[in-house]
Amino acid sequence: MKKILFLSMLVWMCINQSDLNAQDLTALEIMTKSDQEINSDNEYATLTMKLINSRGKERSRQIEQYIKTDEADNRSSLIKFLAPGDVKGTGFLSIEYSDQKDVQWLYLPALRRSRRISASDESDNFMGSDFTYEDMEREELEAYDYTLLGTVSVDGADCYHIQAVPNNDKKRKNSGYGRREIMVRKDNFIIAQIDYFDKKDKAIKTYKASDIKQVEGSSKWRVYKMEITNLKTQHKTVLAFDEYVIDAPIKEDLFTKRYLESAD
Amino acid sequence: MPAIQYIAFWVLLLLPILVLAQDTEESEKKIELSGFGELDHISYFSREDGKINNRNQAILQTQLKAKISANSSLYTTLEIRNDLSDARRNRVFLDESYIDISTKRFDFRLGRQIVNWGEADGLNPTNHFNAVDLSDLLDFEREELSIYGIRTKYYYKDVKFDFVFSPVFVPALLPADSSSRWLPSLPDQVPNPFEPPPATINAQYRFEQANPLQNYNFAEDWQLGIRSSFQWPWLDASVSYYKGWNDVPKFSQAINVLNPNLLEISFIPRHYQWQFIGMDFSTATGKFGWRGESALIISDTPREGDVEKDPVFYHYVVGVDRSFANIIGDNNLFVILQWSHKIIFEGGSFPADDLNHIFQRSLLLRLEQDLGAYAKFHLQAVYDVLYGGLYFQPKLRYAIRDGLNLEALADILGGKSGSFFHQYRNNDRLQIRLEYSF
Repeated sequence: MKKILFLSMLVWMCINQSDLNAQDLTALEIMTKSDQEINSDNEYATLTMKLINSRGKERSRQIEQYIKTDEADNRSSLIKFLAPGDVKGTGFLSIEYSDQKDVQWLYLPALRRSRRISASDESDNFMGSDFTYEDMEREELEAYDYTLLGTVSVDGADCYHIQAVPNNDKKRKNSGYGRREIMVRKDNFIIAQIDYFDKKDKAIKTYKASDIKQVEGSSKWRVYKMEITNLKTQHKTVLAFDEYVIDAPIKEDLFTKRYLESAD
Repeated sequence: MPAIQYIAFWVLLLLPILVLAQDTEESEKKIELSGFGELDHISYFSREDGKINNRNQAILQTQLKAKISANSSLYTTLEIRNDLSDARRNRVFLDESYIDISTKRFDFRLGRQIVNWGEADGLNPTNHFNAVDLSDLLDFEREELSIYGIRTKYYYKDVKFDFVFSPVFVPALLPADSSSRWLPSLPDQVPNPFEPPPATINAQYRFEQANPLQNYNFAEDWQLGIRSSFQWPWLDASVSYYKGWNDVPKFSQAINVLNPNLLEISFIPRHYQWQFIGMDFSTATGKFGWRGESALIISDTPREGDVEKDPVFYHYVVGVDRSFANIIGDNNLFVILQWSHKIIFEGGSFPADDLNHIFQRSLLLRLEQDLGAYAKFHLQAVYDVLYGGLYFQPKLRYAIRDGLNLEALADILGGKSGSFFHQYRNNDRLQIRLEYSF
């Protein structure tokens, strides 16, 4: 009898191992670990961005991007368009200061100079894609309340199912979303899927990550294919990453108007 | 095309190939070839006898960039243009051709180049190095004429010094002769200078083109400028100084009696030196971008002395821009509004038809409305507050596929009689343009 009871307890513990693990971490801790995994101080990537409408018509952009976070937690990013010919040479430089307003410049080859632009609304579309600036920015962990809803499976991978809701008036006003449901993989803390809901709690967009693997020469995991679909228009954006280089030194000079204007 | 340009082009084109053919340890040798091809059609709504009434043009522009070393590269742009309706527009044209050399704090650019100064949009009171092809007054894009020069930029933290020197200025290309729709209408009869009024005499006109190399004087015929730029997190600002030549001339007139019933009136271009003391800025507050540019302009009398010089004046342009999200569905709208104002210190204003002074007191609007991912509607509009002139350019741009764009636009000119735009009210036109960038 004691043996049966012990074996039953053992079986029950194995079945519920994942639940025990989930209970070990709070939703905020999971999001913090995810943020640490998907962000690094220096990062370089080349990618192709495809914009696909509901009829399957595609537009494609080849992009090179550099990201650097300095000791003061200021995050600089430089994006250069490599193709097609009508956007080649266009550059976008953004400096997200930790303690003051962000600054952005746009370089247009036809003008032969850079142009300071007003920082975009978080809800504005990024470069004509279905990603918004809010989607592209680093997660502001302190601006959301995170709730662990349980576990789900996404493409065969066990994931934490987390709800994120803005927790202050400024975020509620500026964010384009009323809430998000975020699926974080348990094995590597990469975000596998996000369902976005508007302020009337209507589902508006879905993000899915695929081709997730470790970057060569690094212990970090990265998503090599990101797809976001606008559920209303059925327009989608696919980012296919060709190359990641993580934590290799990136010169500060890269994030200057001088380099932005010489990128042509 | 002048022989020197041919030689320069082929030398500069072959130079990177020769360099690349050498056995070298450099790991990053690269040639990039890009450019665009364009088909362009223009039809004027009203036809005028004796004038060029349309354009059917093809352009091929190739840009070659060759990396010579880790810190230097060569850049050459060649344009071939052919217009079936106006053979005078045909050209094989070396647009830009220069070498860039960079060090830790310096950037050098030597050769034929286009310099763009100023933070304002489109109208730049501090930017005067490059003349513009004004043979068609409504061609705004890619019409700058490059200059031979040396440009040096020095960088120190958030400060940049920009020095430009060009040994010879390039005059603007003006409408060539009376077959151009962009020459102002001139009367067939003028007061007869040899008889008392109201006697008149027939007149024909001749427009001379400037040739700055004809009586070139190295000690005088140069242009130079220096600009200091400062960057703070909340503001970009610059101060600048330029001394050079106005590429849009004044005209003196010479009268030649061809026969007792006919005068030939020649318009002779008179270029003159001028100086600019300028400043510009750009900043952003909330969702608004602000930019401004201004210059104090001091003109000299033309060398020949037979034309009056411009009075000292101040020109400023201020503008604001904003993006609006989700205006039509999920599509965004971008708007720029600018005010241009010229103030003559001794009072008064410049004549309405002075090509140097079109925007004396003008409101300029530009908006861009996305229409889905593949189309965009543009509108440019100018209202000349001083003389009541009006100009509109609506444009629809459609991306057929990546790099291939189709544009349809219209130019509408009008407003009050006596204004600059009103004199060209018969030049309303439709333009279709197909462009492929590679």
